[in-house]
Amino acid sequence: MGKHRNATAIGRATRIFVFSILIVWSGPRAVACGYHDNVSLARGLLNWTYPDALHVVGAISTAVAERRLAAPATVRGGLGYYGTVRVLDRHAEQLRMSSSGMPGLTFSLLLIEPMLWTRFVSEGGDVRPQVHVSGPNAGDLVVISGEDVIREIAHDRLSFGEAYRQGLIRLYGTEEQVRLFLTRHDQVGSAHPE
Amino acid sequence: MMRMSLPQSVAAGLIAAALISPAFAQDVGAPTKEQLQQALPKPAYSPYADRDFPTRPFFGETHLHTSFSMDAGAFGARLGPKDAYRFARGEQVISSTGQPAKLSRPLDFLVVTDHSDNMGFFPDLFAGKPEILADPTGRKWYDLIQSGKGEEAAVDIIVAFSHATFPKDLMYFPGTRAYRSAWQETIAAAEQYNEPGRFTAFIGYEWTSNTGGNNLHRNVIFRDNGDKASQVQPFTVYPPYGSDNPAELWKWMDAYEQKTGGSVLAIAHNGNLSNGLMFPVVEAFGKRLDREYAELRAKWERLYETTQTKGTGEAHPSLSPNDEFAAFEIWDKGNLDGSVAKKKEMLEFEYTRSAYKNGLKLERQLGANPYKFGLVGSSDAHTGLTAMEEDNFFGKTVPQEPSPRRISGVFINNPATGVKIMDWEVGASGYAAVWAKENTRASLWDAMQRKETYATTGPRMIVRFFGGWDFAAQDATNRLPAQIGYTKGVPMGGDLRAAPQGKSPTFLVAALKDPIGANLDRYQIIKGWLDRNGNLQEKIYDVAWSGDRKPGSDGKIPSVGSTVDIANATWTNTIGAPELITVWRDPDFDPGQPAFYYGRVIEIPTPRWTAYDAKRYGVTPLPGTTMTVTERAYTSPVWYTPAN
Repeated sequence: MGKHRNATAIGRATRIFVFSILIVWSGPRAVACGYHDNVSLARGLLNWTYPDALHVVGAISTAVAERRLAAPATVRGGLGYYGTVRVLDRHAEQLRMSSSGMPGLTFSLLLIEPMLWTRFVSEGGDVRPQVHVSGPNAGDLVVISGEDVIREIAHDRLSFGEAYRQGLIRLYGTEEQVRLFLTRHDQVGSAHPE
Repeated sequence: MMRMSLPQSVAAGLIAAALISPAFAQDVGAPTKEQLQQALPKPAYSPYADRDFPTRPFFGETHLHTSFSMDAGAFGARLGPKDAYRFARGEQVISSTGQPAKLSRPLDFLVVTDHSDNMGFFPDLFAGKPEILADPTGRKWYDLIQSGKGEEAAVDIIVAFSHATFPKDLMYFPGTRAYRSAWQETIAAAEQYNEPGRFTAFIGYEWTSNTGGNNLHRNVIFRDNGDKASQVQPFTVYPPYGSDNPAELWKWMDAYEQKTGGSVLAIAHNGNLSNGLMFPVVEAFGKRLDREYAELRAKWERLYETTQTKGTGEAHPSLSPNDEFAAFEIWDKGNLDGSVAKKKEMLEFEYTRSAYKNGLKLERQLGANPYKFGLVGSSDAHTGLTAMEEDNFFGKTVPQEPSPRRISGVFINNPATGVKIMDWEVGASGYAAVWAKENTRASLWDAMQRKETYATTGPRMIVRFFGGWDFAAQDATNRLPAQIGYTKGVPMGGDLRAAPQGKSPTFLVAALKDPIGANLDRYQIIKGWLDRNGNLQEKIYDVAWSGDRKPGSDGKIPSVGSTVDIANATWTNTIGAPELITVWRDPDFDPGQPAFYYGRVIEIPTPRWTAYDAKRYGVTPLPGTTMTVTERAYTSPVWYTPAN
């Protein structure tokens, strides 16, 4: 549960200074800060480490407002987590099917609402999702998107390429990584691949 | 006092004409300016000629954070001071979540008030500023970020802060090159976007005293340009450079004025999260209140932020049980970080009305009233976007920028104390309205200094409030009430002293709806006073209202009703009135009792931002979510002080 440790560390640390900028001298009192929405803070830092990563939030919001994407369910929690895992498994299967025997691409996907990292590891034509990892491995292409976007892709209602063009997915890596990834995955999620 | 003299420009023009006309000169000689003034009728044909009082309110924001504030940066804010000024003056910008954002109408002024402690650290680190890279640790963090390990760097940074192992050379303390650079960048942004006559970009910062999670923040606003403001660096909280005691901030302000000849004022943050510390009546920071405290606070803290995103603090229903409008956007669960739950006995010392009342008592005890402040509203948004319109609300922090999820998100949750505040409780409020003669730093600041201001929870309604001894009913039929108001009385923020024999205070009040907003329900005057037994009292008077409603048996005007269609997030102006104006005389006046009076203007109900979100995104709000709002404005008071 490396991810959990990492998130906890981020949350504990960030809530120390958020709204308590006097950390150095206030010490233990500041640790008692009540901002427990660690995910929000981890997400905020993401906007710096992956510049403008949060623009997917705006793109998703626009898509929901225009009814191109379903509104999120209000109820979250454990059921939401396992539902998301099922979606990620299904997405891995999509990637397997679309690889057509070509060497796969390993990448790390971050679902921005729960800040859930998943590594999709390609080995010998197979694609294995490692859900709830601590983050990307060095050199990984990083894919940032939302739960509802990946759900639509996994259910063949939205292609990866279209999602990228709509800003629902952002990619962080070398130019070659991004080009290769888009070439391979453009039609993944399309109901009628060309 | 209003002057009714000949316009100087006309006089000058006539004099010039005389000088270049030989015939005129030969026949009668050139008239003097004084002769011309006597010859022309008074008043001039134009009723607006030679006016010498503020003729319009300027709307703006006195409390906005950008990515230069460490917490805003941590929440993902990428917009800096320049973006903030651009947005406020009406330009379209892209928010930190990638959404195009624009105000319905430009604002007239903005003060970017980033936290003074560690100002500018985040943008500098991620930009790889030389000052950061010169330090080995700074270099390490930057390299981590560049190699895709930004989260690791972030954790490292924060842990270093929390364990006091942050490299000294990287601390953004006053006196360091890095801090100076950040402050200069803040000043430069204001200088670049300040456009006298069109848009005022003030220089300012927020001093962030927050010990124990109790919010005692103050926004410091400079009257001056960068040449003076750049001679100092902001006061901070970290010792040994700073302090969490407001009295030390006042010393800093005094030192600034002494050093530069400039002027600064402070606006105290909404006190609703101070847990009873914002308006003390016995002691402050271990020192018993005395006359010096009262005088210094009144001198430096001219205004108070009575409404903002983290709640409205004009009145609390438990302090004012007879005020049916007091339960408005109340945050009364704990302090700023939720680490200490609220106790009922704290409330008296954190709300505007109770502070005004206690101020009367303190004045009698100490000889000076520390809580004689004017009112403004502002946002305290940490997004760089002062977007406080219900249908155009970009939240308090970046996670609260428009999204289908924000309506059900959690803002504060401390299981240890039980303090939990949802994102939907964040209000789309507010703005500051300033009655100034022109849109310049000097004119706006001077109006703030004399407290000729009012707070709005978002709409730009125009509100007048004059107190005097001789306003008569017919004054309310005049279409130029301000001319009468300034001639016969004092505006909001002013004083009435020593009642003339047999007279009671009279008030000329007027309000116009926001041109693109909702109609008005009513105009109320809230009076507080210290009675002859030394007890504090308050009473609310409905003085003007829409329609032909009659007061009920309780003396209150019945509800105006509601046209809000929550499902469709719409309303109609079929109820309410576009303007309200009247003259009111205090029927309960006792010349021996000190008192204050302020105006409260209430709109008809309209959809709250939550209703717009539910409609826009097709989401279902959580049970209990407030879906409508009665926007309002609060004027600065007029105080009455007896002769003795």
